[in-house]
Amino acid sequence: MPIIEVKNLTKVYDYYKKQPGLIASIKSLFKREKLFTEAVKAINFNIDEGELVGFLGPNGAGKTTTLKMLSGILHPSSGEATVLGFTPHKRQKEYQKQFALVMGQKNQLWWDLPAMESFILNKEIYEVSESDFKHNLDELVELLDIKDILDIQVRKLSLGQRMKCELVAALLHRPKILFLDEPTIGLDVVAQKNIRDFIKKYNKEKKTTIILTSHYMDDIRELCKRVVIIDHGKIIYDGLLDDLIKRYAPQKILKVTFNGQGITKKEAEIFGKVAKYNQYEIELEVGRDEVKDVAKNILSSEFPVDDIMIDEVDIDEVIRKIFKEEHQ
Amino acid sequence: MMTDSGTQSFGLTKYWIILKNSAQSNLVYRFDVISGLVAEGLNLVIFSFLWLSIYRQGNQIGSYSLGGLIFYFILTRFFALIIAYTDISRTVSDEIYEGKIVNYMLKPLSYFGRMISINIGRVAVRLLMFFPLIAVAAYFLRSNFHLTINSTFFLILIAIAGSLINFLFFYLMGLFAFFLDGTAGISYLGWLAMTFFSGRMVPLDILPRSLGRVLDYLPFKFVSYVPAQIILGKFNQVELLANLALSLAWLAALWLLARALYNAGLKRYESYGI
Amino acid sequence: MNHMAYNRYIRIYLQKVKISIMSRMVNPANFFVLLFGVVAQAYISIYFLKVVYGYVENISGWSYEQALLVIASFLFIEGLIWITTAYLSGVRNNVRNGTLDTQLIKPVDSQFLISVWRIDPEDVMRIVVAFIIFLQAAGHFHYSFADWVVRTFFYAILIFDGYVIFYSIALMINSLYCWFTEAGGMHMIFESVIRMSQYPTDIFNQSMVKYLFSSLVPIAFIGTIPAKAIAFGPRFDLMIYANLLAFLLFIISRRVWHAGLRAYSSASS
Repeated sequence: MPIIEVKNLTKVYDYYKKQPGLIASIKSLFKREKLFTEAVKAINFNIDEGELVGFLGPNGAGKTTTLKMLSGILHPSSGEATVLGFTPHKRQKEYQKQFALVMGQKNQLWWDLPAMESFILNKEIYEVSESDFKHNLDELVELLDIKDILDIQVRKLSLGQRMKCELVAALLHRPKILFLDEPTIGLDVVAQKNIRDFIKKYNKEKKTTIILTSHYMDDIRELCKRVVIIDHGKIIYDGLLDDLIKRYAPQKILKVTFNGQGITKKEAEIFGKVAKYNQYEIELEVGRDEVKDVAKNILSSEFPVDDIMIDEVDIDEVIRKIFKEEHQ
Repeated sequence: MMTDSGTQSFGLTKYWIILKNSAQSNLVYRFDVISGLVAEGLNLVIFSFLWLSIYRQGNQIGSYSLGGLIFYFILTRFFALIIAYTDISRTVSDEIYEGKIVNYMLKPLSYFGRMISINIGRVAVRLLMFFPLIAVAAYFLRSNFHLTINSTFFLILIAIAGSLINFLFFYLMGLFAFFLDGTAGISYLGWLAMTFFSGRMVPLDILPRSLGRVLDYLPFKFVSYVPAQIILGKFNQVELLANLALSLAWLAALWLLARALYNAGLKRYESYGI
Repeated sequence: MNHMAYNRYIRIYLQKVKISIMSRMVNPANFFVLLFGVVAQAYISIYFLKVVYGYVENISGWSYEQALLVIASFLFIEGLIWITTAYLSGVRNNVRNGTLDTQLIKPVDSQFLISVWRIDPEDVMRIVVAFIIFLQAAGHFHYSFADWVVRTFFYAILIFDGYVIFYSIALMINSLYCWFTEAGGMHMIFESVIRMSQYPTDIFNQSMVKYLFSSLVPIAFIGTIPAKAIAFGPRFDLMIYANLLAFLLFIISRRVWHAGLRAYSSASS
């Protein structure tokens, strides 16, 4: 029995056309043109308990809108969503106590005060018992390693530290579902890794269902076994990430650096398709099954190899390919 | 500084542009401006009932007739609406706290010049928006105007001085951001002082003499009270000259104070950051 | 709602109070200036009245001390509004900043959560000043002890009604921002009108206008009517009317709030 069921979910926004200029502004007082945009177009998907699913897509694709419909912020224009057996937009308290929403760009903690004060407020709001609060807090603080910053004003914390505190605030009531909207946006590389590691660990240990939207490939690659790709309000792929890569990226990238005299382009082409060429550094596209052999060949050749690395095709490229296909 | 036409400008074009931009962006907030007008208008109408009931009982406030008193309030509130609600202290303190002031230290632009241009832009927008209303109201109330060509001349000068005094006062409030962690408190006090001492709540000449005498020498009265009294024809030539002189003296004093505070503030900023 | 639920809402409010005081304490000098400013503002209103009464003996049948009671009542209610809801600024700020979303998903009544969003603790001074003015004015009335008890009892109930009425209207006005997000200043008009409740509404001799300010925009209930209980004696009819009006406006304002929420969630992206 899936924990989240979405059937033909649609969201249409209407808005008024805004023209620049003074005359247009005055005109708009009398008559305005109403336009419609379909942010989400009749999407369908199910999610089981304990899954860690990534929603991927360019800005404006409909990821955040979908998340807002699942958390009950927005009413769908048509179709239905059922989460934990509840209809989200009814905003029933029993439902609200079982999920949490963290938005990467919207800060929910009080700015001038230590994060602890916001935690206490959430404790009251979600009716967490004193003992549960202490237990959950200690556990989360340990996992995220933020013991030292709990008494510092939120505005003095770095972005990464703030995000960690936001996660603590969200998880204090042990929600069954966690909605994360662009959680690593704006963070430095180290902070991103910390957040990702935490999410992965938390999902594994607590079996919390986690839905994550992002336009960072690394988030998806690191965390999600399953990925849902949304573009222009439609789902264009829903399945395992590995399958996605295998289907759309049947090749791997072989990066080789040389010293000494280096290598000529013609010589490089002997080994395989040259994606990038430089006298001392080349990138080859090689089929997955052949890459180890090709690597062996290069290493045992006479060329002055300095370093060699086997890498995945950039998922960006893969996704771009998928989008290109969709538009054809 | 050379312009395209090859003639030498004094670098004033950039301030004109700032002024224009300020005016344009404030046009966006026209709803706020109109709401301010409605709010003041309603408030005035309700207040008038207070005066009406007082005069009906046969009383009199100072030397004012009922019509004169209400007209006085119409005038002071109009002046306030146009020149006083420009929110300069908030803008300045925000820019200091957010560190944006650094940009202006690095550019060949005077921060003071920029703020004055912004202020004039805001005043200009309000003047433009209220002009039709003022014209209509002035026509219907023209019998209450006691202006001569001579006093009109003083009126214009003092009104401009009053607008600049208002600007300088709140500019100073904003500059306190260099020295304090929060200017909300002091700006609030400044706003209270300006509101009451400019004569918007009560005509300054009906206050007890002890207080009235002090306020006579303070700069606040030029923002609303003095312009209103000139229109009501309450000053003779000597008083007009004295008021003009005092307003200019205060302008100079406040300007010097602002400059000193700004420089002191910058020095502090350069040593400590914020 | 049951007893446990009330308990919880009180605890949430208290945590908000703690947060607001702590926020102010980050900058204690500023806080003291604000406290002073609040007292100064209250005092200016009283000074204004004093100046006017320097020229008149009474205004529409109200002596100076009686008029002070009107200001005191207004300050009580305004002070209570500030320290519980900060003039409902939480409503319009969350709507205009688009952060209402994150509040709607919390398992607490949305109206409550948004109402107590912001609290200005320095305005407790308004209540202190109100007390001082009240006591000062009361010293001029020579009622028997029993009389005082009855009048004060009526007064307390009417202050409570005045608070509910003020709150309900403020909520409705601020909910308008759910529909007219861009329109700034609507609340300024409301605040400018409501400030007039500092003065006895008996100044509106014309019955039409008096009706307006007693029923449609019931500013009479925020200053004048509670003051009347002390100054002119308790009146059952006014108290019943006040209770009914408070109850009615509260229900209506809640409806308006929910309608606003619906408008907000279908429009936001």
